[in-house]
Amino acid sequence: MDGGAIARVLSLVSEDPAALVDAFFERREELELMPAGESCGIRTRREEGFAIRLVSGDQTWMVSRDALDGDLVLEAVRRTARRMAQGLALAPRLRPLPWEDSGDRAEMMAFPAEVETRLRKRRLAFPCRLLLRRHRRWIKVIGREFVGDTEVEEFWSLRADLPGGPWGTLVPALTSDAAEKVASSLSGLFRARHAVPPSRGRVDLLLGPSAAAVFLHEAVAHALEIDTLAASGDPESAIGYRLGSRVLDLLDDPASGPPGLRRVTDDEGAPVLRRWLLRRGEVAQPLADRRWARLSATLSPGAGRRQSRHTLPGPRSIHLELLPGRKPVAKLAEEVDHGLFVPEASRGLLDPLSGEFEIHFSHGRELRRGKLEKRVGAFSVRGRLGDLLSRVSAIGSDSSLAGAGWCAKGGQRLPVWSTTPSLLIAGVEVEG
Amino acid sequence: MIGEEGSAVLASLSRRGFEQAEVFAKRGRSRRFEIGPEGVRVTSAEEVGWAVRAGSRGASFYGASSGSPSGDLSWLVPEPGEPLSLPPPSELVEWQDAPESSQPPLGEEEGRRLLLAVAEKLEQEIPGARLRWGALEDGASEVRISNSLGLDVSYRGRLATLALSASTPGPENRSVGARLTAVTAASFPVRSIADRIVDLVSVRQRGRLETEGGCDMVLAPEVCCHLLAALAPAFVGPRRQVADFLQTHQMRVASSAVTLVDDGRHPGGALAAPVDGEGVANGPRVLVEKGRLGESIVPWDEGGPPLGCRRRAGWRDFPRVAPSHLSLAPCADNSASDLIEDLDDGYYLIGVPEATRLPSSSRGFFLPVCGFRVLGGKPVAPLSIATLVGDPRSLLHAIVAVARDMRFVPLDAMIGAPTVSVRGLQLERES
Repeated sequence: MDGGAIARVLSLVSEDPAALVDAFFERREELELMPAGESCGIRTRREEGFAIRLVSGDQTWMVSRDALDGDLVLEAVRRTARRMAQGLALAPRLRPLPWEDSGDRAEMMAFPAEVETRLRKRRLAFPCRLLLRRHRRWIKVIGREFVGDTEVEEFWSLRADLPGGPWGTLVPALTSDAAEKVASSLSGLFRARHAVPPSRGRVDLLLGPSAAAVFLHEAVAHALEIDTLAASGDPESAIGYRLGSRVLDLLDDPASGPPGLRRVTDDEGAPVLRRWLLRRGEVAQPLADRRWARLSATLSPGAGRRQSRHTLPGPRSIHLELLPGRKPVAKLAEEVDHGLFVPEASRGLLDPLSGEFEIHFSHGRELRRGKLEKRVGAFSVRGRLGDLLSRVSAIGSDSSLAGAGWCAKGGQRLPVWSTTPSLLIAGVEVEG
Repeated sequence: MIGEEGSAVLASLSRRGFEQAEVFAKRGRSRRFEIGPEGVRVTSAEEVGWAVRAGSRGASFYGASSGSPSGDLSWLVPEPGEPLSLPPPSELVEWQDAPESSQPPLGEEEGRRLLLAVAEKLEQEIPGARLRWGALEDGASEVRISNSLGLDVSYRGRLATLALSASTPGPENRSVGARLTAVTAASFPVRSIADRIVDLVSVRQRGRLETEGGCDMVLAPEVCCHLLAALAPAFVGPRRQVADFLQTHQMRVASSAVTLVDDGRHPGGALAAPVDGEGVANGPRVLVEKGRLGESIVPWDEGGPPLGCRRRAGWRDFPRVAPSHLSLAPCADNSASDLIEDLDDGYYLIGVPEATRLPSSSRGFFLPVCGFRVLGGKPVAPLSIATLVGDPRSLLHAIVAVARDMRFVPLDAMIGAPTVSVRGLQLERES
């Protein structure tokens, strides 16, 4: 790809030096392993294309196409430009490399069997339809002043359809550890299938790393996306605001994500940051993309993400990291007189206008002075975001990659990752 | 014509010994206008892609790719599994693509004007209220499906969607949302859409549920569509399974006011098509007729009738069994206002505010709603928010009368409903 030629063509789109002009090139492949016995056992999807974007003032125009072709790029540039002189530019040369080989499928085909073996070791066998997908994406962003390097992402997603409903996760690689974690989650869900929800009331809630990751993603990361903040006022005024307890030190760091997902630049070609979202509970640096950062001296880009070439980028987290505390999780559990331990959260939702937040858990265990007791069924926690975050009383020392999953916002579905320890929330109202 | 390269792909697969093969090709273009905190955004997309599946002697493969069909299939490897079963050509009832299907998408200025007209009307009627976000999308597509058994069908589709989100004036900043569809963006009735948003914002400003519990209600089409969407997957599968889920008594699954139909070629419907995602002719499938369980949604190769029911949202998607255009049949005898006038003491629920609560599986469905308290057939007070609660299995029994109006909402499928009267559902306060 002749990056220089593309940058030169983009420079003709607008004479306004403050305008943001870029080209986003994308190629992606998805390999899907169907459950045993179904037709077309491995399904393959490959696609490529690009988008040209112009942001000028408070207006954005974008044109996207499903091919990598120089003539199409020039045509899209012309359609995007508001005042570009016709006939001045030559079509840039695009000679995409042949597709990489899809790789060895044996590893993929062996994984469901490994999960099943681990379930059997737990003396469990139940109807479960497992769907495994490998996702690979190559992107390159070119602007008027820069030609970004190609960024590559590779990870796996797994969906299990169980009698009680679907469950899913993302893993960076199909390791034995990943199979063990999947089997552990599935067995937890199955064993709690008939458990009665906890009675409504105030309890201490000990979230395992996976549940803590979902809680922080939904409650903090979404709340600190700059477009979410803008929905209810001046986004910059959030900086310095005490959003949660002083024990919360939370970062978004795309460069320290799991192998295969580490990023140098975001989906807008901006270098990623080790970005402090919360420092001792105070808002430090909201998640911003280039569009918002160019309007402000205090916001930094590097958190722009997009689902595909056909969607505009927006500010989102990639890899959250909660700094661990000093106490082991067993110590945190001992501090709970009457509470619940929750290994996983199923979903959460933040209403940006009202600040109302809710999080749902599919199951848990009663917890009394460090002892796990009776299983409990599905329940939820609702409340004001600030109140819930101020109740976080302790962080465990057991940090691990956990709680990865798909996150949908504004019609865009993106993979998100977290490295988090356990987390104790004191005195929250639960309802079954 | 789109997908002409498909015949070469089929010929090549036949030479390689694949007895069954199918090529699906789709080309679409769309324009989207958005206003909101991020300013005005205009995007224009052209999507071109295709999918192939083929099988022989217990091995089969599926692949999908952007671009036009190509004979180089070296990246696809057949795997053993269930044999592939493709439909033979069927006789199609005459089909005319919608006359609007070849019109270009809405222009930039027209799209912008439509959204700004709604915003201006709202600000005029309710000072301090604002349209927080609006998105208008207008798109057209062409599809061609051909297979090695001689099936070859093509058609054009058209769909426009409008999503609006507004907020009430004052510090409480309550939100309301609405989603609409039409065949083209030019056919959206701007004035009545603006009136609807004004009504929704107006009721969201104030009004609390007085008494929790069961009461008579009238549900506007949008509210009824959300409830039907929750029930739609229950109609997929063998009839016995559907009957078990709905806990039928002698196959009576609904009140006699209910006739429920799934029809992928719904006349005049947005995204209506002559065939499903694998080329089987679409047609009306009566799921419930005057309260009695009718057919269930079962594909032709699993014992169902030769009617299309495998949907394919885009070229990337493998066909899956699901409803397409599921609608509750209207009744010409009643207008929406008749149903409200007949309501002696209850609620008229007009909208579903943006999701502030998620559905629960343990207690059936619950849906945040807003509307009016009605006494003696007249709306007397607004209801800002309450939760409509019920068991999906008893939902269809709760519908006691339906009106003649009809609206489709794009949910998991296109779901259509008129205004309905319901009895036996509960309203709870938002805690």
